[in-house]
Amino acid sequence: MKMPAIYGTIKKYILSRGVVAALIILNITAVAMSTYFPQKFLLGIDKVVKWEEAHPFWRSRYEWYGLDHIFTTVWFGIILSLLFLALLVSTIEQFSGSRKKTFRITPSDSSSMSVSVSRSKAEELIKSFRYSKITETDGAVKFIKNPWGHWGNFLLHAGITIVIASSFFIALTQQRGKVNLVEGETFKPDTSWIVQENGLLASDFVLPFSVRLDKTIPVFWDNFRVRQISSDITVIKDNNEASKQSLAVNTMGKFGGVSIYQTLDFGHAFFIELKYKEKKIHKMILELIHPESLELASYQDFILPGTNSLLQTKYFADADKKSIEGTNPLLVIRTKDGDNISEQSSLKPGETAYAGGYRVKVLDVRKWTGIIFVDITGMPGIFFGFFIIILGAFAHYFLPPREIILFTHGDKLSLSWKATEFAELYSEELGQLKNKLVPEKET
Amino acid sequence: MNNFAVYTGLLWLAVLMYIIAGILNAYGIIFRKENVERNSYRTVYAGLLIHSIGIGFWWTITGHGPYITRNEVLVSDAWIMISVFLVFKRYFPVISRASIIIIPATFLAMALGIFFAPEIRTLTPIFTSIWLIFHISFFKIALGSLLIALAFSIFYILKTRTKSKWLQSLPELKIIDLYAYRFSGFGFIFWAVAVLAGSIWAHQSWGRYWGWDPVETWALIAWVFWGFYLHMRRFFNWSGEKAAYLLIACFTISLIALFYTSHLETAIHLEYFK
Repeated sequence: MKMPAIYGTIKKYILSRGVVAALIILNITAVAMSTYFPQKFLLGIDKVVKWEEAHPFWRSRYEWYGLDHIFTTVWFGIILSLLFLALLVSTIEQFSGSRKKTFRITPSDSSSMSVSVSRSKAEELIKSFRYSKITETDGAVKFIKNPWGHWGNFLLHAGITIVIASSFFIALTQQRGKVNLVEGETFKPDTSWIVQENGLLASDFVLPFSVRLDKTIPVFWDNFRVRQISSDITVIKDNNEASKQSLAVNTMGKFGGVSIYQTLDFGHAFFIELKYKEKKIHKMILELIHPESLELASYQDFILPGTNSLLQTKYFADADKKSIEGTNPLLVIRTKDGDNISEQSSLKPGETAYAGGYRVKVLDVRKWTGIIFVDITGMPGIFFGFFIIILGAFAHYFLPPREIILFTHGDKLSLSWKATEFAELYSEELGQLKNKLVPEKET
Repeated sequence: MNNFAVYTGLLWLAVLMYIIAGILNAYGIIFRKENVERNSYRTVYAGLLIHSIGIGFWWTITGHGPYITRNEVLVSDAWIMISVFLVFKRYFPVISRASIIIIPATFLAMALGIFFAPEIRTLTPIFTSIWLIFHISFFKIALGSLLIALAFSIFYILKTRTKSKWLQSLPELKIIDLYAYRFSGFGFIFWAVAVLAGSIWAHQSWGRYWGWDPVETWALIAWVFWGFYLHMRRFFNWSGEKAAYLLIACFTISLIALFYTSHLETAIHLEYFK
């Protein structure tokens, strides 16, 4: 296939050794910089601000150069795109190179030697060294041991190209959303996510169905650490058609092209009723993270409705400190208004207590858990690309090809032997071949 | 005797065997006593047997493979380093002289592992994936292969710069250089498999194949560095001492990726060492 002239120009520049080396170094440097400059998406804004305060030199430059979000900057996009272009052109070139190396017959005069046996015997002996007959032209026959080795570099570069192309596609189109659901609660498509991540060209993530959390079951080790978390959910379509799914950590669900993941986040949700003096009654749901052990509590603050005051809570898995399962949870509350902190009160399900002038009643306690929904197209490309990379590298380094060309030189049958890489490591094999095929005086 | 004492005792015994093997091996190589060098492998195998029993014993106690605590990580790193060397040595007998670096590296990694007192840790649900096992195992195998490449690069520099007699028993410089190149290629493949397995594990657990976590980022940097090294050799005809120094730099980056970045605050992988 004839390539357009522009291809030749691009190839000349993009595959020049200096440009290739520079692109690799630039991309490594950019990626390494992401481990020095805190990335907002990894650490959150608070830690980034702290880092800026500790590094005044970078404060003004940090955001200007996009050092707080390197992987979504234009300059990173450009250097990665150039690397991608270099890989793409290199892959095309290596394809034709591999084809030539495999199928073209070019006997080397300098390394050729006469063969002392008949052609059929020579072919038989060559095959006994596990060389395969690949092609034959004008009486010259090409044998290659490990012919796939010639395709290693092509596959390696093709694999990297596929991975980068798929990554670009995912970075542009992916949609992810996280939600915390209490047992019995239904998440509808128009509800907001607690965390949402969208690709650069992706619209807001709207689920094509509703999801109800039916049950969450945490399982614990004897030392109270979490062994597994699983959840039963019901997916409800617009036409009210419902289907059950079971999720667990490392066991995702799938529905309508959306992957559904169980997270490690779970705990108890306390449904409480608040009444301040004789005023209006408020209802709140306090989602508290499950404590790490029987002795330890988990803590969280909530803003009291209609005030600037805080409701400070702590939660023990078991009021009697007997079971980590959370069948008898204990909620401890107090209020904080500026520097005024109320006495604390303890509550179990169904109980009422007072804190800071509030009457608080625990109406119900249910488990809650975090669930992630992901709509990604392109993952097969990533994994296929990786597979091709490994296949190519394996072919290149584990299967170095050696080739023999058997040809007629004048009246004599001759052969030439070549190893495209690591030739010195196969001198013994060449010696054995010579012993079998070449008259003694020539060996 | 409690389980901790049995485990630690087995590990120390294995370290002792490796130290004896290392001394015999170095003596055999340096003073060209082939018998001593050959027999040193009996002690290596004895050490490996005790080492394996120790790991197996601890596995039954903890209920999971040796990849959670620092102690388990280093002890299994040492096991795979020596095993990778012994397996490759069967197919590439020329690499046997790398033992002068591999055996000491093995007992140093083990001894360091023992200083991090063993503890019984339970697996969090995320760590129960089979892909995690592949992910970790292939990084260890990659390290074993790269250590052999490192040994040959060191041999190259020593043989070029010093006149020690024992170095003359090594293959010629060109062959040493090629083995460094080839084993770095093997390490490059195993590293890629490890990254792929980690990516599948992350996709299975979190729904993302890549998160730019520092450990992931440094694993990628190290892999690209190895790619750069191989590229320089293949397309820029780098070889000899220059290539040997570049290989040492790549190996250092790999050590940072494997042992340092997992302790950074933001690493998901920090969970291991909590």
